[in-house]
Amino acid sequence: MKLLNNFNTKLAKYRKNAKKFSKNISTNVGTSLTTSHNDGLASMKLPVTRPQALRMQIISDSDHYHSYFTSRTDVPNNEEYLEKPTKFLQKATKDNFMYEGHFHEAVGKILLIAQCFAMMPVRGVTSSHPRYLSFSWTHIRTIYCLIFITCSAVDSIIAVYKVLNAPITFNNIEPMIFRIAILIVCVSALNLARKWPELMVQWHSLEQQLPEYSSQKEKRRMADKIRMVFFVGMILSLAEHLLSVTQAIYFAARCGATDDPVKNFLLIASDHLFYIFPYSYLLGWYGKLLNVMSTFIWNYMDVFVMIMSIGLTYMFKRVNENLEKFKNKQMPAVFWAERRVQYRNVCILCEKVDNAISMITMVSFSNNLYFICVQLLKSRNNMSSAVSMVYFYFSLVFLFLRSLAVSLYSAAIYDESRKPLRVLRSVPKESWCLEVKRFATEISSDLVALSGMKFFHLTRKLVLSVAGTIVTYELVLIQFYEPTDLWDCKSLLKNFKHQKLLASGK
Amino acid sequence: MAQCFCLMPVRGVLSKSVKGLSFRWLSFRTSYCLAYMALTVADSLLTLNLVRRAELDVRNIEPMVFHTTIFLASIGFLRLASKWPKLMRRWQQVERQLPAYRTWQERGELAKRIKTVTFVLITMSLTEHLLSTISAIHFANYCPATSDPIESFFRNVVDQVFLVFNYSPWLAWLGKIENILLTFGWTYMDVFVLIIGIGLSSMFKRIKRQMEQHKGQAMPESFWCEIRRQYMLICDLIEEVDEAVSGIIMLSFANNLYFVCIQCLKSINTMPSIAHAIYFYFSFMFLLARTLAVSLYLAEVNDRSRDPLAILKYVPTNAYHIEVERFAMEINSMSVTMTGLRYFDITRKLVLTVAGTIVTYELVLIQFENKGFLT
Repeated sequence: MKLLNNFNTKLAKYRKNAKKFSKNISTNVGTSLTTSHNDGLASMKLPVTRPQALRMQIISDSDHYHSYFTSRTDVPNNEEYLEKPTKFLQKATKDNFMYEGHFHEAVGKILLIAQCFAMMPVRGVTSSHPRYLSFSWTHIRTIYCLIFITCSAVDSIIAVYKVLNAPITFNNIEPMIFRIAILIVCVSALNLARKWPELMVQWHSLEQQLPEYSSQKEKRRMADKIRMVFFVGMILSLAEHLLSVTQAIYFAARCGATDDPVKNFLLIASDHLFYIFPYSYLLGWYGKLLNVMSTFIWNYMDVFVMIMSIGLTYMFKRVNENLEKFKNKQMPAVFWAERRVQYRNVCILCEKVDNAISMITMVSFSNNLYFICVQLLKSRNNMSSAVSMVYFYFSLVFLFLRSLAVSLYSAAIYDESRKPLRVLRSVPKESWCLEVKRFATEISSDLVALSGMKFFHLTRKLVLSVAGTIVTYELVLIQFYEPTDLWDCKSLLKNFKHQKLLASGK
Repeated sequence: MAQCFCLMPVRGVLSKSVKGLSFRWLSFRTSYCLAYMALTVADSLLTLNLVRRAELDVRNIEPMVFHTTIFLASIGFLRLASKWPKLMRRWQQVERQLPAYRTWQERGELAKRIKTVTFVLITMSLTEHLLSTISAIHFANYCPATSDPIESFFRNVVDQVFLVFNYSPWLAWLGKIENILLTFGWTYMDVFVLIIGIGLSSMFKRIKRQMEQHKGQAMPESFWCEIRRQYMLICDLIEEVDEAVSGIIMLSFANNLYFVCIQCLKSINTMPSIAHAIYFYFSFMFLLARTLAVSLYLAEVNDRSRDPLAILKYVPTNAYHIEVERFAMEINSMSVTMTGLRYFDITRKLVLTVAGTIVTYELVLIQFENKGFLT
């Protein structure tokens, strides 16, 4: 025990020295961007001489990925990447709380939480470097995820069966839409998990090319924001779910058809299961568990899109903040060429991320659109009790805020990507050159934004048009809608009767 | 002048140079403004109470929308007031760098224009308010609730207060004053946005005038460089101003959209008396004109920003420098507009879109409308 601790402290010291040493190297020798995978080496020193600039290039598909994995042989020699001999419940050192400002470490724990709910089965999400990420079909997380997908597929089929047996209206298909959306998201998250290691390695290598952070505070900024968004989103969704449970319990107690309150509750919570099967205690809890997980995933998909957008926005921000420093200054053409390459690389990353997650974005958006329409329509119903009213308005407001937050955070990428234009406008006449012109033209002609499978791009204007669409649909839907009491006992009692028939074996 | 009506608590707005401007949370004007806001909140809550009693409907929530908008606008103005001195300093800095005025007439033009617009709009809004008071008095006489005509007038005007409290003349006058202040704030919001639009587009005009003098002449590169620099300064300024006021623009647009819809809808009602009819049509016309004016003046910023492009086309071949090319390219690729929180750019095309939207909503709303008396 003592020996191990000793070893740890020694290692930390050694690592510090190594960092210092590498920084010295970087100041003396200048930079070599593509070849370095050391954080300390990524600092840019100006002015850049010609040969160095020539070495910088736009990331090609295989370039960095392979360079990382082929150079893996020299990892053991590099102290920076020597994995700590980890121990269960190890005492945390200062290093554990130091951020390098990478996206990978910012999302690590969040992905770990998501994995508890069967999303994104990637190994090594909390490791220090994305190269330790891996995906395999036989790993326990993947199997867990596959089991969940199978369960929810069965669940969806049962839900569809129940919906099809009743008259189909815009409102009635709600549980079906909910389950199908979650199924699609799960499958596309699994798909994303396969691409995730490669994507993160690319992201990481790009981060090292970008201008360095100037302070520790700046390094924390992205991680803090991502964590904040995640926790606020999750706590609100937890509150919503608790309210929904409260409401169901209240409802069950008020028009209890049986004496057993637990049975009453479970019959409501997983009503679609008991539409087919006779009541059993275990099946009820199984349905409830699936429901909790689905609700988490439903909220998580929005949060995930937000997190990815925040990450990309901060990439652009880093480029922009560095550019702002050189506003109105005379810089050589090489400088602009290099900035343009940085900017271009971020754009390429953005496109890659978009390709990877656009299915999730699409589902999240259409899902939100549908649920807002349904909830708005439901608001014309008369609420029978205070409990259901509180739950209903809370969930409506939460839904609104969540949809708005997703659209605004993802629109921020586009806003941020246009900002370099302001700096380029103020380039003095003497240093205006072909490279600056090219940079300006590229920025103004490109549309860098996340998209929903390329059907629509997420910009601020989209938010307005979506709002307009919702109002239009709502006006049409209202004309066909007859308000009913949402929580009347009649429908419940009908379920009970059906249940009794089932139990008696028809 | 807006300060009398509790908006924009900035000190020293009348001083000759911008140096005198300052904003403090503790100044008398700010506390006046805060007191007003507290009063508005109380009033809005009372209104909410009133609205809640009736059935929720597009038309019934009108007083609530009115109160909420004004409350939001006064928050917007308060926030703007804290930024205002800095913004004005920047504005003046930019103005100093623009080409000088040639005549006295040109110099006075901007101030004259702003004064005219403000005067016209404020007078109209005053007239509208007077008409509304007259129709309320008429209505009070027509079907009096109590024997005292003054009391029945107040009961009619500030009904949201007396729904909760017992009648008292002090409370009635307070409610009426609050009502006047609110109406002013409502109009002022549009006027303010309009003035900003005029101010910004006039700067582009100055550049255009300078360029027109040298239209078709072979000018040295340094001339174009200077013009381009000035143009970019204005663009940066517009971006800054837009960031500061776009919340108010958004509010003003949304508010106008809603009220135009409502008034249109009301127009199919039968009017109880001629006083009502006059009031109604006047206020409707005023609303339409005001909305149109706001959109057009703000869209003018965008129009004016494209003007230099036309003049650049006259540059002769031998004087077509790289700087001219850059200028043209930049004008082409930029969209210099005022925005509503960046959700929409205000251009002339927007006006048409908004009109289309109004007609669509109107058609749907009319189907639900059951005609009835306004009262």
